[in-house]
Amino acid sequence: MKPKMDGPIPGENYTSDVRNYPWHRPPDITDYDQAVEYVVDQISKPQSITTIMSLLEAGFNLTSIVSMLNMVNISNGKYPIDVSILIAGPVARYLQILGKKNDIDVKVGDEGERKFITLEHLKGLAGITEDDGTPETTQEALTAPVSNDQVPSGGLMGVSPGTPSESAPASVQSAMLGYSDDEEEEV
Amino acid sequence: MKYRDVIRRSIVSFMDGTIPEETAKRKDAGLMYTPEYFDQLEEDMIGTEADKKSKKTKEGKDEA
Repeated sequence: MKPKMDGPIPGENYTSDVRNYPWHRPPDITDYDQAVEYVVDQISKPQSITTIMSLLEAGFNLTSIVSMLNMVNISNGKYPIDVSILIAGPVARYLQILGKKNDIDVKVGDEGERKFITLEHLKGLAGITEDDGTPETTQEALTAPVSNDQVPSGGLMGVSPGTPSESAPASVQSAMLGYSDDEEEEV
Repeated sequence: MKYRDVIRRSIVSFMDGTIPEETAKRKDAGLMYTPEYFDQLEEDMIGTEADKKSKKTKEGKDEA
């Protein structure tokens, strides 16, 4: 097998402008207390708290939720990775208190346990389904057998049987091709 | 070690009342969000006595 040679060449990183990435710029917060305060404020917003409590109730552990919050803030350039590790404890403790207040059994998460929060989870918790504004495409509709009568003749782009013929008359078609009976008047 | 595992360890040690050595040094300088702060917050918010485990604060991982 031929080896793949598609890796970056040494120094290639210097050829691209990376200043547009927030994590390549100095972070907004580098102080422990400030970072905790920022995340606590972020969590305390009514919309966020509802989502986080729903996630905890759905069985997501504190490690997953804190990792998600940290990832978002690191990618937005709010604080660096090392600060995110330092503040993980206080943020989780705050979430634990909120969980206890709402009678939710909060788990830290076992070692090696992988439970990622995906967009589908969040949509499910928010009650957003496929029929909200988007056309419903059910599995049944996709797997339903197609009878031979419905198979269009003439290939993929062929007209389905039963569709009224909309082909133009022969005279119009010849006119479209440039074969007109009417000769242009000579000037 | 994956990021998630580091976060988990950080959470577990904070819940046990341990904070990193260098962070603990800042306690005298007015570090606010310590395990004791959250125990107090829990007491204020829920009205129950905070977890006794986290009151046994160990300053620095090496000292434990």
